Amino acid sequence: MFRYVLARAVQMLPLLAVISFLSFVLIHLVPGDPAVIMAGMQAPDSVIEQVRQEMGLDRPFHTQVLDWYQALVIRGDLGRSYFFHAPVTQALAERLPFTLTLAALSMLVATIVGVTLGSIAASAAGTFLDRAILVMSLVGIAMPGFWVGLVMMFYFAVDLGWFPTGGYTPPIEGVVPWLRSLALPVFSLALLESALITRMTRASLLDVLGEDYIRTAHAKGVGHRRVLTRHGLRNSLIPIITIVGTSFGNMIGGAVIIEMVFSLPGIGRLVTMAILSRDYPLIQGTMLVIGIIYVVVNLIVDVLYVAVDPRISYA
Amino acid sequence: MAKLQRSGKQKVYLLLAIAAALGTAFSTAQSVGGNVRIAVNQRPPSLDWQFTTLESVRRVAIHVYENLLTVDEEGQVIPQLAEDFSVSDDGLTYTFTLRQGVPFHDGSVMTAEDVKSSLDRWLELGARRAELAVVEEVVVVDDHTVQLRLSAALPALPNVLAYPMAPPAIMPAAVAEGAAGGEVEVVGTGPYSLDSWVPDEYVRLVRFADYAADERFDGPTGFGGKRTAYFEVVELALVEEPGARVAGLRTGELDGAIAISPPNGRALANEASLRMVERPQAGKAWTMFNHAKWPSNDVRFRQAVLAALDLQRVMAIAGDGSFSTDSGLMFAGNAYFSTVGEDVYNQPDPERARELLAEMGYAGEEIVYVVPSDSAPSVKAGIEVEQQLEAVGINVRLDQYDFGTALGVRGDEDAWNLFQSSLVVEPTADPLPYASFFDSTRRWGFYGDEQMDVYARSLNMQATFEERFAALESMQRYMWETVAFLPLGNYGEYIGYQASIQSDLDLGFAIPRMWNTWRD
Repeated sequence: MFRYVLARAVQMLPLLAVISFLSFVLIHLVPGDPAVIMAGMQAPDSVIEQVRQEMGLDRPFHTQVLDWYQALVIRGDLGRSYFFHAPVTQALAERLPFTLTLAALSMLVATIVGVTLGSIAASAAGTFLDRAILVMSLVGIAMPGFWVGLVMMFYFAVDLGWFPTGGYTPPIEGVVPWLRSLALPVFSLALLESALITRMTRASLLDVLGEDYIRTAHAKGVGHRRVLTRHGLRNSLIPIITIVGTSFGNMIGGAVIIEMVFSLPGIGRLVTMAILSRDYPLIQGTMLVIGIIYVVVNLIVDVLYVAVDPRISYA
Repeated sequence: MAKLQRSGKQKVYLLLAIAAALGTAFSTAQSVGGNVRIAVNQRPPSLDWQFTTLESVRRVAIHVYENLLTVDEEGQVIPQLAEDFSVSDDGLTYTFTLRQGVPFHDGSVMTAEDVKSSLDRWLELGARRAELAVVEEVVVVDDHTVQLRLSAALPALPNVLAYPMAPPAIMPAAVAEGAAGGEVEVVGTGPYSLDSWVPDEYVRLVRFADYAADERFDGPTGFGGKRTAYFEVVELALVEEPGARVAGLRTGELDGAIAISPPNGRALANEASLRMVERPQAGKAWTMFNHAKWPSNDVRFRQAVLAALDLQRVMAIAGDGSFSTDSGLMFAGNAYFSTVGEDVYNQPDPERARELLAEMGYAGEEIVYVVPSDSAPSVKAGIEVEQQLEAVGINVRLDQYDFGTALGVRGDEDAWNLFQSSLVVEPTADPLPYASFFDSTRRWGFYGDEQMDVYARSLNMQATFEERFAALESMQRYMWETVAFLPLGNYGEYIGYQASIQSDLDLGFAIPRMWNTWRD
């Protein structure tokens, strides 16, 4: 297993090199100039040209690419953000824990809600309850994240006053204020994924519940709940884990919207600002980190397959 | 016209003097303390006021920095850190005497050396340095006197120094010397000092206890006068999502919020706990023509565009019902406001538009119209303009991009014909930026016209209000005659505050000013 993980980690490197190169090329292909954004559109061309030189943007493209890789490989340096006036690694280090926390909590909520509702729907297949859960999950999939966030904000924060409308309270200032500041973003983000997990759990569980060994378990007199949890759910975990892993990646994407709506200090908002202001070093750094998160989550999913299904082995 | 404006201005001065006196009388009852949190919609890319022209920077800088000269409530030049100034008979030497005992936030006291270093830095890398290209050197005469020596007379030099966009803000010499553009340590003499700045979250300012208020004035005016900081902490919080700004105002988590859309502003105006201030002239919707590309480089095409448009309708849509239409380059109410050009402005005549297009040989070639998608008034104006142009037979392709991309496209002279923008010229300010925009060296929209150069350059060669007003009117008249640019009209927005926020100043002002402001 260890060798497998190590091999996968090594395989990550060319993948990440491709990701960072493509993001470098793509963002430079899009028209836009960080110098104009820094100096303002009312600044004359001579000023903008000077800013461009100070940012090193007057160098040939290939020089910029090579310098970036050289700094990364030799010094582990992702460069300096034009607009944060700080090293990219620092900007990322300050915001990554928040986004990972947001995504993990959302994932936890989505998994608990999704697996529970999916199991209920599967065990009550064909009934009104099953159809009601299916419709709910369809609605959940159809609603855009930013709209859900705003509706939740207006109802739970403005009308009911239960939660703040935005901003983040670190846990050091109290667990309850911390959870209150995270509640609406977490539920907004969890909604879509919980709907997907509900549907996947239901489908997977229905497949398994039709297997012979389930009938055997029932024939042996095992209770319905025990059959569902010990035999059914456990054997339908592979597709569920797959969708949970994919969902974690989606969460990072969803965080881009939710962090903007709730004014939260995460890498989703960071990368949005970086792209809108053409902060090339920051875009590069953030894309690399998001790429690493995707790859690592995929690796964890693969390792979890072994844990839940003894038939799978990477040895 | 100029005479009328003057008499109106004098009345405003009188009212301001009374208001300032009353404000001072009331404000003596105010005590120092408390925090205020204002939501803003744009992130400053830097806090270097000398270096960037953006309003997002100005919102912070007006609290932190001061200048030799600044502008009062009506946009007239007043001294700030300068005690006084004089100009030599040949117009080539400006001598500024400085106020004494003015401390910087770092504890040092302002001297002529600091002023020289600040001016030298601005002349080297300030965003508007080209406007003072005639300055040959800045000379320290003594500890409290500096001179600007010019190679040619520039009667509008005081206006250039006072204009509150990327001005030569005064900072300690130790800070100014060697500081790269956009990277300067934020130290000024203003009533608030910088406490902390997290670019994607907030700028936090704290009251500067040793602030040297300008006792020559009875109260605050414009960006200067006698300013008093009451709030201990001023936080400008970045809340990009318009709905979140509205929600924050309603729950009281925000004490104020800018850039509230007119529909939201009108809805919130019914809430007793809030004070919603409509700003019907928040900005000018502004269509630029590409003067380097056919057919937008042909005056007949530009005239056809103007004749095709019902600007009343365009602006009603762009401003969501909060709008006004006039031919002025400056906003109505500004001393420099003029209606020159009203004979051609908003005179929709589709038949005439079709005639002009036929006369120039336009045969339905594609016109690329670039609209930045981040600005709601620009998008709404753009869609309506596109429809009205299509109605007279202009084949428009509307391309929406985020602002950064749109600016990138605008830099390519082959890539576009029309560009939708919005222009925010401070309501207190001077027509100075237009002299720069319209100058052929600027190549704004690849524009260049010798006759306009004469008008634009004459603006800065005039010292008196009447002469400068006449120069502006010449520019404005010529712009409409040639439809060099097309200001569509003014769109509105709201600023919201909790009703408990009180101020000696106009809370509906373009930029939230948190000095002389307190919580009731």
